[in-house]
Order: sequence, then C-alpha cells, then structure tokens
Amino acid sequence: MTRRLPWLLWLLFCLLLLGLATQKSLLLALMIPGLIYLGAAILANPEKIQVDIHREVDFDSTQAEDAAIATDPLNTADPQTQNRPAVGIRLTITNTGSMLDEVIVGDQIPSGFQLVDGTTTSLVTLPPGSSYTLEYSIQAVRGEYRNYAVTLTACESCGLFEKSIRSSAPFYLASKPVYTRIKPIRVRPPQTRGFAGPLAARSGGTGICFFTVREYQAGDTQRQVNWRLSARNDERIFTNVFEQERVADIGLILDARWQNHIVSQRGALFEHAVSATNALAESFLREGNRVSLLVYGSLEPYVYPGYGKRQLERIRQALTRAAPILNYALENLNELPIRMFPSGSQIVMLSPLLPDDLEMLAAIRSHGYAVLVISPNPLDFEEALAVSPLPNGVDYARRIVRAERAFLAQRLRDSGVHFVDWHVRQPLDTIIKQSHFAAHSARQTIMHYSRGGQA
Amino acid sequence: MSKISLWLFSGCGVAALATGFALNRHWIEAAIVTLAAGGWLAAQLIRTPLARLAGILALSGMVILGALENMPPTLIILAWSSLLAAWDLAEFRQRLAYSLDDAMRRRTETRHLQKLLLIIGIGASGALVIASMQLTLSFGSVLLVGLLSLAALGGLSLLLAQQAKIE
Repeated sequence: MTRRLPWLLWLLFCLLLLGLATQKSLLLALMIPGLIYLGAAILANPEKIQVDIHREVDFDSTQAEDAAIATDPLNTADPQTQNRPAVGIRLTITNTGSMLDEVIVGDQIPSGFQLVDGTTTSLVTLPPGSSYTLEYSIQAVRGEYRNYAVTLTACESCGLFEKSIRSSAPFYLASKPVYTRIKPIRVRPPQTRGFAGPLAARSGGTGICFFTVREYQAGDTQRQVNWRLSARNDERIFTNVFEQERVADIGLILDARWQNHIVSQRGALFEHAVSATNALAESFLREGNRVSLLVYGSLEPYVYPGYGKRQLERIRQALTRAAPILNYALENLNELPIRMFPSGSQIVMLSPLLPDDLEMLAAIRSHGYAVLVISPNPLDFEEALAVSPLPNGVDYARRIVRAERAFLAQRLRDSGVHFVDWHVRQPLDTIIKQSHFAAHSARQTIMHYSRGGQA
Repeated sequence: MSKISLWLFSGCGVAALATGFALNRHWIEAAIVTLAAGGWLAAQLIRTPLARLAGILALSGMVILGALENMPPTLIILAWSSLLAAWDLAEFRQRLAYSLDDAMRRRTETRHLQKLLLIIGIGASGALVIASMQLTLSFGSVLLVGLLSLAALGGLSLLLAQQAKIE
C-alpha cells in the first residue's frame, strides 16, 4: 500500500458524506472515477513477486592481477583508491509468476563498492516468463564481499499498491590489495635454510662474496688460491672462501591493532602497511625464500611458512581480509606468538609502533631473530588533518611527539633492531634502498676493520 | 510523453474548474483555482511529494466547492477526472525517473497511459451517466444507501490496511 491510497480513500469518504449530507447527486457521481480507479488498482495488484535472480560477475582475473601491481615504482597514492580494476556486474531477473506492471529493480551495492558505470536501479515491466538484465560496473576497495542484495518493488499501474521483496543472490568477490613491486631486499638472518638462494648465509662455501681465507686443502682449484697472502708466507698456501648464499625464513608481521589505525584525508595508514606487506611478501617469495605472515590483532592471524606463487596467493588472501580490530587482549605486543616463526629467521614487522612496543621488539631480537621494523610514520600522515599554521600548543605537542618517536627509533637501533622510518609519501622502494645502502656501507666498514685485524 | 500528458491533464482540469467558477461569476474562487493550479505546477517542478499532495488536495477542495455551488456537472466531472489523472501521472513520473533504458521507458509509459486513459474514461463516463440520472429517493432509502456505502468503503479501507500490515 502506498501513501496515496489513504488520501484517495479519504477523498472518497468526504465525497460520500458531503453527498449524503447535502443530497447532491453530483458529489456522489464524483465518486465513480475514484472508485473505478481504486477497483482497477485492486484487480491489478500483484499477488506475489515470483522471480529468479541470477548474478554474474564479469571479472578478468589476469587483468586484475596486472592492475593490482602498480606500474609506477614512485607511486605513493592511497592504495585503497588507485588502480582498482572495474568489475562488471550483470543481474538477470526472470519473472516466473504473474504479470508485473511496474517493477523497480534496485541492486544494493555493498559499502566499499563504488559505481563507475551504469545504474543500479531501474523501472521495468516484466510480463510472465520475461527477463530483464541490469548491467553496471563497480570498483571495490580492498576486502571480501559476500552480501549482495537486490530489492524488487512491484506496483500496479495506478501506483496505489506495492509489494517489495529483498533477495540475496549467491555472491563472492575478493578485492585484493594493490601493491608496488619492489627490488629484492638483502636481509641477513642469523640462520638460513639448506637451499641455494640470494641471502648471505654467514658460512663459507661456494658463492660470490668473499667470506674468509683458510689453508689450502687438496681439491681446491687454483682460482681459489689467494696468491697475495700465500706470497707473504713461506710454507703455506691459502685459499679464499666465499660466503654461501641460501634462502631464508622470513616472517612478516602486519600490525592490525586498532590503536595504530590512523585515518586522514589521504586515506588510512593501515592500507599503506597492507600494500607494503604485499610488496615485501612478493619480493621475498620471488627470491625463493620461505615466507609466513602474522596479522597481529586480526581474528584470522597466521599464514604458515611456504614458498612460491601459491604462498603469495595465500598471503594476498589473508591481506585482503585484514582489517584493524579493537582487541584489548592484543593491545600491546606482549602476546606476539613469536615462536610460530622458525628460530633464527628474519622478522619484518610493519607497524607505526606504540611506545610500549620497544621491550617486546628488543626481546625478539634477543631470542636470536633478526628484526627489521618498517614503520609507516603516523605523525606525517596525521598532519594532513591539522590546520595550518599550527597553534602554539599543538606545535609544541608535535615536536614532543616527534622527539619521542626519534628516541624510540634510536633505542630500537641500540637494541639491534633495524628500524626504517617510512614516510608514506615516499616510495617504499626508495626508503628501503636508502636504508639498505646505509646497512651495506656499515657492513663494509666492519668487514674492512676485521680484515685489517687479520692482516 | 507522460510529461506532456501530465501538463495536458493538469491544464484541462484547472481550465474546467476556472471556467465553471467564471460562468457562475465566482471570480474569487476562480482566482483561488488559478493560484492552486500555480502551486500544483510549482510542486511538479520542485518535485516535493508533500507539495504535490497539498496541491491536489486544494484542487479537490475546489472541485467539491464547485459541486456545492451548482457548477455545470460536465465541467466538474471533467475537472475531477483530469486532476485524478494528473495526480496519477505525477506519481508515475517519479517512478519513471528510475528507468534509464529508453526502449523500456517508452514501453512502460505507453502501457501506463493506455491503462490510465481507459480507467479515467470509464470513470468519467460513469460519473456523467449517474449525474444525468434523476432519482427520487425517500429519506429512509437515502439513509440506508448511505450507511451501506459507508460500511462498504470503511470495510474496504480496513481490509486494505490489514493486507498492508500482513505484507
């Protein structure tokens, strides 16, 4: 029943009462068009909406995978909005019941979807057995989508009666994170695995980088002999030993605690962390490493260690579902299940960090793990929300918070944690490269001194 | 097509009412009808359901007033039927705004207009026939018919309200 019906009935009542009261036949005669209009509406009123609803998703997964990888390595746009592939939705409604004069088909797109082409609502006439197809395109932000409802509102041609049904057709769509492909990162975990790979294994063997020298043993090739050192010694010959290169266990930890969830006009900081985690996972797996993922704070937290493209797919699926969650039990890192990662592995944590996290990170380092913290800088990100120029008190507060963060970073570095402060406006690749070069030059210095000591 | 029909029906209804009042030399009522028609047309432009309802109620009130002041029955019935059709078309155009497929839109419009013309035509003819009939009834029979009509209309209203609740 629409809101017009009560008004029409009131008008008819008024005409009847006035006609009877004044004995004017014209007033009673005026009821006739209204009554016939009402009668036609009652006769045409649809008994029941019986329809078959079928939804198709036109989605080229290959194209989507290509689109998920940002082509520009210097791209720092919000990962939620950039490069999202358009998904075509085709909703077919077949009338299996009686005649439906006017049906408003309204597809209710879930939150997180953005309409890019077409329309989600249409008025159609559906004779029995006929079909109508509604086509449109959407873009979806990262996440999993299962609920997709369609509302059908049928009314007869007079528009006095209407019936409405809401139906959910089976649907599943996962919009995976968009990431920028980065160059390989040369981490140095304390332990490596048995297979050949790109990471220095801290043990002598075949390889490219010089590791140490030892006395010549039968079977050593002449190419390995260190002639300069042997010339300085009368009796012994020395051979060069190179550092073995192996694959390693990499444990990625994505911080999904609500306390670190910062949203500004430029999007959510968490999305940058998700995108970076994806890029790191892809980079490490491409190099042949065994990678696992822990989404700290999430309900479905752990992806067990694995290799290859399938593992990347598992990680991407976990990242698709990852969302910041308010969990009081996991509000600090004390509950971090670090033993889930193989001992001596490389831990890479992506977190804006809280002041209390220092102790746990230092403890992880002391347990024999190599720890790399890539910390999306929350202060820069939040400054987008601030008005300019900053009031005096706010400016002091900002300086204090910056000093606190610098102090935290320094203490982390002092405890042996490799800390990378990532301003998300800068590309991750550049930041890691700078940081890597810094680490590399430090290692060169150490090696130089140790070599000098031996000589 | 529905837009032209809406303006045609509105114009026809308002013109019939204003002419009726003018014929009876009720200039104030004719002016009020013109004003109400202006409000109704404005309501079409601003597309506010409440303004549309207010416009149609004001014009219906003027139709009843015209009937009470012995305006020619043909004009009254023409005005009332046209206004009823215009009200229907105004609501239909709201629903039609959802239709973006041109072919489907034309088909729905044509179908709706055909049905509406048929219903309004039958209603207006029936009203003209009844208005032209001369019946002499006693007070008792008028009372009986009146009570029966009230009961029927009231029963119908209750039934429809119950159906709406069940749905």
